[in-house]
Amino acid sequence: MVRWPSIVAGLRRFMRRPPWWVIAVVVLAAVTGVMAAFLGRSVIQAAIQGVVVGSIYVLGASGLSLTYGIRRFANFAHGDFMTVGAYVAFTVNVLLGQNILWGVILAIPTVALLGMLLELSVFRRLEGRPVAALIASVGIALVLQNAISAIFLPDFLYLNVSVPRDFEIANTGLSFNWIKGGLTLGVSFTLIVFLHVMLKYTTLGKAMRACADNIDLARTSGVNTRNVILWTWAISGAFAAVAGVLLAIIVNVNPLLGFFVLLFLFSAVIVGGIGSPYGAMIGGLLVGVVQKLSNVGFGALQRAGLIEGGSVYEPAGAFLVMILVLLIKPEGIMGATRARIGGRAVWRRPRRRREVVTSGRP
Amino acid sequence: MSYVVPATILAILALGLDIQWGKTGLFNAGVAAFIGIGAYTFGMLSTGQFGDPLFHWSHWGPGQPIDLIVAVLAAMGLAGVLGALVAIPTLRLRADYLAIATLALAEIVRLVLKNERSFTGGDQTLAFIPRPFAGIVPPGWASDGVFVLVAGAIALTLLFMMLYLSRTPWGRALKAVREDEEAAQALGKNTFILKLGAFGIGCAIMGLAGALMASFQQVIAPDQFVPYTTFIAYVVIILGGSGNPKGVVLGAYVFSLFGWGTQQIKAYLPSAFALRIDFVNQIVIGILLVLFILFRPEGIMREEKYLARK
Amino acid sequence: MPGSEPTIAPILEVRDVSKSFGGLHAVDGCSLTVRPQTITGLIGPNGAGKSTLFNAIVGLYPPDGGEVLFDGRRLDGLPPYEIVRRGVIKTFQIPRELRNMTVLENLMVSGPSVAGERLLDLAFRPRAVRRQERELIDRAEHVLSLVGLGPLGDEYAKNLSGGQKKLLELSRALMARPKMVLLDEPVAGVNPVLTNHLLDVIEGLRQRGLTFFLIEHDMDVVMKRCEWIIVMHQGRTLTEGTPREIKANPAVIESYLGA
Repeated sequence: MVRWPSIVAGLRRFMRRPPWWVIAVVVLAAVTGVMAAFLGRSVIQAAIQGVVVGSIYVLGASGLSLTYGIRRFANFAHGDFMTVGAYVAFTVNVLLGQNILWGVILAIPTVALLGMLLELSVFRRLEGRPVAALIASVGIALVLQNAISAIFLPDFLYLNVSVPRDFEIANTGLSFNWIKGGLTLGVSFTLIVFLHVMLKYTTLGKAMRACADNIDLARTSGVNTRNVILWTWAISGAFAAVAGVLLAIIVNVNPLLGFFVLLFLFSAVIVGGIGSPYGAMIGGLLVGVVQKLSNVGFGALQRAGLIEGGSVYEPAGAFLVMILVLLIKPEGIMGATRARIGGRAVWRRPRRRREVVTSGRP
Repeated sequence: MSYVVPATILAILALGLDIQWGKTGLFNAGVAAFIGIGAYTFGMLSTGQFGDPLFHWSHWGPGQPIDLIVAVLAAMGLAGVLGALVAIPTLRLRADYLAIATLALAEIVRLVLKNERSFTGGDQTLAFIPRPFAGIVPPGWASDGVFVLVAGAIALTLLFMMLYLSRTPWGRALKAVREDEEAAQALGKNTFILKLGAFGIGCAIMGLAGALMASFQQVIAPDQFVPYTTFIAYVVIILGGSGNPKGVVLGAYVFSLFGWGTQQIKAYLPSAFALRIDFVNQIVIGILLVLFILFRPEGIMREEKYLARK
Repeated sequence: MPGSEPTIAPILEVRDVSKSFGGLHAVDGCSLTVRPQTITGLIGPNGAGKSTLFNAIVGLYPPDGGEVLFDGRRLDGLPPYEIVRRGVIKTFQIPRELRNMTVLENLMVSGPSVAGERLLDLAFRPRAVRRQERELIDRAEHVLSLVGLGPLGDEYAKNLSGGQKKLLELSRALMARPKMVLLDEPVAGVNPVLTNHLLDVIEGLRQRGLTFFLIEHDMDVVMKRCEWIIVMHQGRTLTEGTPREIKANPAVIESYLGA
């Protein structure tokens, strides 16, 4: 039976200091509202676009967050995992003429296997050396990008997917696209729910959480950490593959597809909080919306004559938010890991006075 | 000439990054931005307000071209100061966060360089940047030769400075920060000031490299200052020997040789291969990087051991 | 008899210091004093908060509440490098040697800023820098021979044995020319011969004016070498006294059994 006192107590706690993600969403909604008041409908349209693009970030960032949490390093090749997924889908869809669904079905295990392969050959040996692993992942990213360029050549390519035209939402003047918008949101939502269910209720999911929390403890408690790590890479790769295909549907297929969104993915993971897939989810949406809002915002600044470039600066908005988060609350919205070296950032200033130092000389 | 000068400039760049990464362990992923700032500062100051006659973009700047030496010092100073400003809030972040933050900042800088056209010439490039001794030496072979000497002298001086600094207490304190920052703090070092100094000086040197690049190429564009540029600097240091100035310089020349060699081979390859050789080049670099990180992270020339009494 | 001696001002005063991590109150209103030129022991069961208290004293974890006074002046809230400059230094329980630097470098880098570490000095006072460097090398070699690590000066710190790394911790602390040294389990895992040698060195230094405050679990060591013992339990002081008094105190025994 649900008890009244605990509900009231919970609500009181909520009111006194609501969880950070609620604050973030409320602030973002407020900013959107203010901007819309000044700049009109395009802001709302941008917010919708932001949610769509954000849901791709959510997929990518969730996968990134999984490996970040369990292997404790920033995988700079994750964007290229997405690119590989897109190209596998392209091969199946365009070169072999099959339905895009087959493309996705083939892309998922391909990238999953890629991730597991890299874990076995490279990242396993770099345990305990997070910076070295980061650098290695950059090297791998380079190899992947250029291998794709060498095979497919760096031209922009397009998936063979029929995309219906945008339709207007109920006379509001806002447009929405069933495939680019609806499919993306739908697929992302489904996969996120799947991830949540898996992490919370399955044995593997619980083992993954345990390993991300304290891998030595997990190992001594009997968890087969090597397998769990491999599975984590597989799931991370699978999510990356789907995100890559979705991105390819919206944009196009090119060798730098995933690398271009990598910084946005990292922004999402940082804003949301490293090591928390739920943080990645909220972070992804926030980054997407901020990015599109700043598209409109910078466009306005351009029209006002303050700056020359306009909507081109949309990455800058997202990156600035990420940098702000890093400076003010580096653990992110939902994170709990230590982000700073040493303790307090600000010390009391010692008073400089010339004093005679007497010391016991050794 | 397409080899020696770019290699020397790369060596100078790498020496700057080596102070930050090799000696102090600071992962500055925004190298490209500091080079760009140095290049554009030098370019704008040395061309004065002369627009690009082809496209009639006018660049901000003083009414007259400014003496080259002052322009170079300004480039170094601005890059160094901006580096210090960036460092103040970000240096307490752990390595991977610092990398991501600096990478993001570098991208913002590149976007600004590209889009604020009346300021920088944007995509239309900043052109007609002078070479040293431009009045005395005719363009072409002679000017190239003079530049080799100038760049080489600068690089050599810097190399000796770095070797000296490595043996000073300052260099030692930086190594301590790299090895274990908390232990260095517990031993009495003000690690924040040390890191700030290393970051600022490193960025100033990167600005110098940018200025030299601008002067040599005589034309610069924002898309030269992309993350890949930063990546090359790291490859040079890691392969050549992080923490060892001689190793780093060696790495720069070897790496440049590889790139230059690839370009030379291009002419002799059938078109299908020639098209792809650049990609293969980068694949090789990526694989080498991974191999070195796995099996020889100290690089070809490891850091020299400190022997007090030789 | 205590009470018949003239009261000596304590060199270290901890007043009601607290430090929590998350919900865990590691140090919970702890107060104690340490008299100058003594070897004072700090004992207590695991989790009593001893190491945390040491970290709070030297500024690695700023205390959440309370004050720390050294020589009558406040230490709490100051950055670690300033606390070292004032004369207090701590060793690490698990040695944190600077691995890829030589033993000599490890020593030379210990202590408050030297002229050569400031860039302005490097540029404008090269002679002072050179002179201080020579002094540093001399002093470092002297400390090394005092402690017994003499021939290992040019060895990379990562190549030392466990016991040698403990000696390195102590030598680095001494290089900082401290007035008081906080030792966190200085002889844990060290063989008995080396242990005695270490403790003899410490006693010798004490006679020349240093104060030592040490955490140790080896009761033999504590009882034989400390002239005063403070007992911590659950984040605060339980009791203090001479070794004999502590040995006989039932509350102390109970805290160890109960924890």
